[in-house]
Formats: sequence, structure tokens, C-alpha cells
Amino acid sequence: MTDNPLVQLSAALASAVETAARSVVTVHARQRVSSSGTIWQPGVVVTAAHTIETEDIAVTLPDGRQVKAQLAGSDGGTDISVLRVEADLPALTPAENPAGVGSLALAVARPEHLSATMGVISHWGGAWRSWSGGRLDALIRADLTLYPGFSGGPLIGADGTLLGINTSGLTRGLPVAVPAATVKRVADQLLKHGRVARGYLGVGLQPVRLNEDQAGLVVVSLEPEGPAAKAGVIVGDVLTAIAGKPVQEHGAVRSALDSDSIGKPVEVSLLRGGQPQTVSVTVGERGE
Amino acid sequence: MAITEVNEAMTALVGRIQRSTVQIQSPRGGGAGVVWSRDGIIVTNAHVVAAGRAEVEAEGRVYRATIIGADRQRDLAALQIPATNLTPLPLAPRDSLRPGSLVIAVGHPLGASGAVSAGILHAADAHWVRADIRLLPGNSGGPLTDVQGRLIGINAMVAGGLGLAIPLDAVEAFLRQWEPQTEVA
Repeated sequence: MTDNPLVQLSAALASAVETAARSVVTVHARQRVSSSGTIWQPGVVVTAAHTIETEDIAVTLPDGRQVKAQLAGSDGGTDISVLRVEADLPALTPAENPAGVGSLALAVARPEHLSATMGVISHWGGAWRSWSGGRLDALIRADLTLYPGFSGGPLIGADGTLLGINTSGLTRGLPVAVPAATVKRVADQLLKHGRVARGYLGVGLQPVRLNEDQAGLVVVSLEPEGPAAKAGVIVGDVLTAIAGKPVQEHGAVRSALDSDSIGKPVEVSLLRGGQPQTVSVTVGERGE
Repeated sequence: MAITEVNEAMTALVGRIQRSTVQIQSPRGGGAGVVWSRDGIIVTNAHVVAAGRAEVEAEGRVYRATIIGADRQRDLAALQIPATNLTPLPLAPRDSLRPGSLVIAVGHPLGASGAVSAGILHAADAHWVRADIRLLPGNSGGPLTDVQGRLIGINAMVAGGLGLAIPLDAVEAFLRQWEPQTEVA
């Protein structure tokens, strides 16, 4: 082994890619360039939901074999789809701790051939909501280029551990990685139920400005016998907060209605005839 | 592996690659080239010397180059300059190309002589060595190397944000056309 640290670094990076590559597959589920998938557990592949465009899905394994894949479910909120394949491949080991900002990271993919790109972790922030309502446990950005077909492949640290699943489909701009903890939570639900449950109030809402400082959401339709109707909400009420958190746009309502909220009572603050009121609504589960 | 040691190794490496990288001026622009042999064979892109004449600056001296041959389809050209003691780059073994390994490009982008870019090997096949590296006009014809300073390919173009280099097999096949034929008597 050479004592040139640059050669050692290069060899370590290539080894990390080779190790990860054993768990990276090609996902054929759209007309244009194929995307990548990551072995999550034996027989289970996770990929980016926005790359699944056809019902007929095939997966090319690292050894070149092509096998059929069954879609277990997709969650647009986190851009995660789970596929079942008959292949016994190793899963990547998730990193135990967040990667430090500035540490090296690699995106590994197999849009056709094994491919890799490198950068540094540019941001590792707290939990956030995607515009489509998904709850992500951390905001992970790396300053690397996600080339076509890289979505669904893993973001790994220089030690080869899994940091997240790369996607360009969650934010309209810079790509992000869906944290391993989020993938686990979503994949577990998709494998069990085929979907990620979302809370439901049974109201149609429109944003409305109340005065210069305050905005809310006016109830424009009501599901008969829905959770909100049962709690006494009526058309014309203006929702101002859910569980104490202001709601001024639809995203805030989606945030308040994740799968944890289902079946539980939640305090809804509203204005009726200009008078503030609160009602307790038991959150239902939204049907697909 | 201290980061300062990595930096020191990198600057030493870059110095070696720069010595084997030439600057080419031709009537329709210019680019970079790679010292292929001690006795003055230079490899570059055909598009760099498309005008048919070229001057080559190697190790601080400027030479008028003779174009030995050019293949526009493969975008390769071989030049001869009257120099005798140049430093060619060693060639990387074909089985050493591992995606994820570090690669270096040297060229003269936008007039910056001997400028360096670093990245990683993205993927390699028989037609191209693809690198996740930032290349600009002026990198054309210059070397893509590994971190041992061994030549991997001749930088030729940028496609989809990736740097594309012509692999050594193609370069050697191209050069064989002008090798003197050995006669066995």
C-alpha cells in the first residue's frame, strides 16, 4: 500500500463506490433514461417515486440480470417508491450520525453503467416539509451534480455508509437526499399498507386575507359526515390555526395532518362571524 | 491522513502533470496537448489543430509543430515537435479505472495556462472515459490523469456537464497508424 495520502484517498473513495454499487440497481419504469434504485433490505428496492411512470417495471441487478419488479407503493410526499424484486442482494448500512457539513459525499447510480459523482455535504438541517406534504427528518444537501438517472440511488459518505436516497424530484431546484430514517419510516408503511396514511378533516379550503397581518383558510365545502362536519365546522368558517399553529396556506394544513395525527383529537381555531372559536376535530384518514 | 498531506501530494502531482502538458496555438484558436514521447510526439484533439498549422509551447520553449496525422471522427491528432528530452506521462493500466477514484485534468481554459481541475471518475467504457469534473474550452487535448499522474485519456468535450476523455486504447490505435513498420528479415 502506498503512503501517498492522495492515492489512499482516491482508493478509499473508489472502494466506497464499489461497496455501495453492490446495492445499486437500474430501475426501468419510464420511457426516457432509466433511474436508479437502492437495495433497502433483501428483496426490497427503494427508488424515487417521480421516476415510476409505467406499471410494467423491471430492475437490472449489479450482475446484469434483469428481473421483474412489483410496486409495493409510492409516497409522493417524500418521493419514495418501494419495489419488491426476487433478488437476494445486500443492503447498505445507514450512517449512525449525521454527516458533518464539509465532509465528502458520493452519489452512486446505475442509470446504465455504474456511475458516481462527488461533492461535500453543504447542508444538514432539521426536519422539513416538502411542498407535496411529506415530512422529512432532515434536510440533506450535497454540492454535487445529480446527473440524469441518479434519482433513487444512494448518497453515501466517504466511509461507504448510507446517508440518504438522492432525488431531484422533491424540490424545484437543488436536489436533496431523503434521509435514511425517513426512508425507513416510509418504506415500512408502504410495505405494510401500500401507502402512507395522511390525516383528513373533510373540508375544502381557500386562502383568505383577514387584515394586513392576518390570513386564514375559509371553508368553501364540507364533506357530509366528515371529521370537521361532525365537530360542528360550517361553510364560511375561517380556519386560523390547527393545534395552536397558524394556518395561512394549504401546506400548513397538510403539515398538521400527517399519519401520526390520525384518530386523535386536534384543536382547530377558527373565526365564525368574526368571532374566534375553537372546536375539537378527530382527524380521519384520507382515502386514496 | 491529514488534509494538509493530501494538499501537498496534490500540488506535487499537479507539477508533474503540468510538465507533460503543452499549450497549442493554431490560427483558429488553440488548446492543450499531452507529451506522448521523449522525442517530441504530442497528442491532442483534431479540432485543436483543425487549421493545419500549430505552435507548441513545451517546458517553456515554443516549437513549430508538424502534424503527423489527424482523425476528425475520433477527434485525435498527433504532432511532432523538434524536442528531444520531454517528459511523457506514464499510462494508467486499463483495469485501474474505478468509478469514484480521483482524477485530475490540466489545460489552459480561458487563457489560464496550466490550470487544474479535480473530480472523480464517473464511468468508463470503450468509447469514453466520463469524469465528474469541470472542463472548459482550452482543456481540449489535455490530459486526464489519476492521482498517480498516470494518463487515463485525452480530454475532448463536455456533455451533460460531464467531462469526456478519449480512452487510451483509442489513442494507441490511432497512433499505430503512423508507427514505422518493422521488417523481419
